[in-house]
Amino acid sequence: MILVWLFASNIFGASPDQNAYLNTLIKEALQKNLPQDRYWHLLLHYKKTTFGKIESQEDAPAFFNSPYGKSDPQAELIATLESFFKTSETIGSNQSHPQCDFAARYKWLKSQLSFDPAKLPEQRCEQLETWLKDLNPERITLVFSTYFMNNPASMFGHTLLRIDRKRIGADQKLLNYGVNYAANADTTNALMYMLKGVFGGFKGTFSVFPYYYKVQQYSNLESRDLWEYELNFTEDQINSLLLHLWELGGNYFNYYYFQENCSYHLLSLLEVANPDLHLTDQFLFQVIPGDTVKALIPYDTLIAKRVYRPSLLSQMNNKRLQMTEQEKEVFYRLAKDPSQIDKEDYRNLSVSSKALVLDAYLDYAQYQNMKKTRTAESIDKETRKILLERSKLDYRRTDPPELVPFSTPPELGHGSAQVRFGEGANKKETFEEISIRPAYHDLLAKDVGFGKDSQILFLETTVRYYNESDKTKLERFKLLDIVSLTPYDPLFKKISWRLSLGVDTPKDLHCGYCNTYEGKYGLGITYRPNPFSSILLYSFIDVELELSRHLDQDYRFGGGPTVGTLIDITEAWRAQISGSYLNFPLGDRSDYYAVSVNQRYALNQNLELRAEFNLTSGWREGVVMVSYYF
Amino acid sequence: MKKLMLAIVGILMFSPTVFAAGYGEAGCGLGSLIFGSTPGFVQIFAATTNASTYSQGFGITSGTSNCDAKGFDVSQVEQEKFVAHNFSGLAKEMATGEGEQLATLAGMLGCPSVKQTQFNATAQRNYGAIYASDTTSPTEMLTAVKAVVARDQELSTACSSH
Repeated sequence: MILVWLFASNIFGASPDQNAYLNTLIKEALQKNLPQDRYWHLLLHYKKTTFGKIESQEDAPAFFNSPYGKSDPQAELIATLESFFKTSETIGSNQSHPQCDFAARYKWLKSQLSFDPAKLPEQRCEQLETWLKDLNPERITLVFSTYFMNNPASMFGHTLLRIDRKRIGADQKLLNYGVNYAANADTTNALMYMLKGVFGGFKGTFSVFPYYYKVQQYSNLESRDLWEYELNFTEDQINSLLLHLWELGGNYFNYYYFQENCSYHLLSLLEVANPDLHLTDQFLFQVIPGDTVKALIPYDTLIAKRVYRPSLLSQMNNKRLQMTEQEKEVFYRLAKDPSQIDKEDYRNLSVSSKALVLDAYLDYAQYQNMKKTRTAESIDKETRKILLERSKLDYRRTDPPELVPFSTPPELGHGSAQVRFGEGANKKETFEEISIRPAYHDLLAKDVGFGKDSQILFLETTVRYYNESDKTKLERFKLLDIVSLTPYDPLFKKISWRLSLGVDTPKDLHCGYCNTYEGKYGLGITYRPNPFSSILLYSFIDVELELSRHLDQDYRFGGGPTVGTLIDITEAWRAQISGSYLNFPLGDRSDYYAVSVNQRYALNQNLELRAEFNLTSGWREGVVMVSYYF
Repeated sequence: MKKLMLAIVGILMFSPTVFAAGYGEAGCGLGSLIFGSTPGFVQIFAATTNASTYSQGFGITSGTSNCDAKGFDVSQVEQEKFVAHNFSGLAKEMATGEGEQLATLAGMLGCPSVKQTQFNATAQRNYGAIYASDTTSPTEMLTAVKAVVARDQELSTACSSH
């Protein structure tokens, strides 16, 4: 190895003195073992692959100075030192200097090796200086965007960083900058999109935007609450983070939805700011944005402050909470037909009531407008009329009530993977049960930190050992199970839906615990008296297809209604009662009913007790379980 | 295995409706990959960026610099960009006489924060002149706001709009 760098380190066009100094630096770097230093690995994004080899996650060739840089930290360090000696003649006039392209590496190597500016001239990086001056950073904030209206599509959330700038007041946050890492999708074909997203076919890049772009996108257009975590970094740490962002800016990582996604690489930026943070190592399998917020929690002093930024609809819903029945009445009428503003009902309200109703209406109208036009650069006639009416009221609330958050911060939620152990009995015998699922959240679990009234189960596998029959059987396998309960709202008549695909053990067949492949899809209606009431009623009509050689003609197809309820008896204790009737007119003609009563008692954030009781045509069973989230 | 499974799920889904988001780029994780808000439909957030209003490039898309105690020294282009991007939100906040976007605009026009209340009240009072018609464009709206500020004795001296 030593021989290699002796040969490798003669720079084209450099003086013998410079060559000598380069060799001195290389020697010192190797003595100090810098190629194996954690910080060097963070800067170059070196990770151990599954085969124990070191490889950089960065996929752009331009990110490396050495042709072997992707997998050889030492070769890359030597080549990087070498590149710092380049003169403007050798790099071309409109090319930027490696000292500028790799500003964070330069900063770190300089601090480790105490570069002598007489022997290694320091280059001016005007573009970089301008950029830093414009950013003028004071603080780094991690922003988590939650789900939207119980839509599982956004249940996983999204994270971005915000660069908070000096001398921008608390009410000027919109002028800060958001830093986003995302896939640059180059296809609109859904299937291609999916395959490429999963297998790393897209390039993921960083981008910097004014924060108001992002607020417009998440808070207003998609109407998702944001949770902002102001982080404690020193000025020098923030500088390192930005220099590294600059290095990454023109390059890319291959984007993987599960692992190297929006959240993962933001964490790696935070590690560069402060290498004492070990954030990315703990993610082996999947990186879920909410979990990345959790990763910060063990570092006591890292989070300075958490700020809730209500979405447009959360702002509207806060106003609805303050309304009397009469005000609500007028508001709903107005939402349906803005011309109601000329009617007695509205005219007779007091000024403060009028203002409240109109303010809520204007939130609603802005949301609808954005949904329609996506940019909302024009305002329709009806809304204009109401805006004018509101501006003439000359009323501003002097004592606005405390904002009620309509979502909960992700770090308070249970872990995204679960393992469950149970002991149960049916009509015939007792059994032990074990269940494992990598993701994510079910209806019975505590929904703090998650989307309310929704469920996503992914690859949940449940196996039972029956004591009398001495048999181990697959009880259930859920490839995917999604439930989205959207409580009925006079403003948004959204329908609830559910979908599940997997393997089940139908209790009505009495075929010795045999399995069927099962696909189910249903639509329904959900009712909750008010957003914070502890009871929810739901109903579904499902269609279902089951495939199994135990069925007559190997299949049955049918469906039927389900009604159910979720009740929060206390904060820790939830019960779910549901009843279904299914009829299969096609294939194996059959029908059955099923009633289940399930309960969950949360002992802490990640530990709960469950009891389930199921009654199916001619079959009864009960299971008591302990579930642990991690 | 998990990736393969997911791909299979994708194939099982039918009627993909591709949905291009006007803002930003593909989201994060499984959810944005497969399910949109329409029940049972595949919906994709594609990163379509309209280059005229929205630059995806690295570096800074628009910036404000040289803050001082008086407020910001912000170029006309940046003001226009902000106003265009927050057009309907600003309309709402001017009509109601308060809000974050309005405060930000005041800052961009060089109004110090002690004059915020005054700025809000003035904007609300003159709402009809600022959002003058159905076809008022963001640029026209900005010009009108500046005119209103210039006409107000107190604000015209306190704010230094550029």
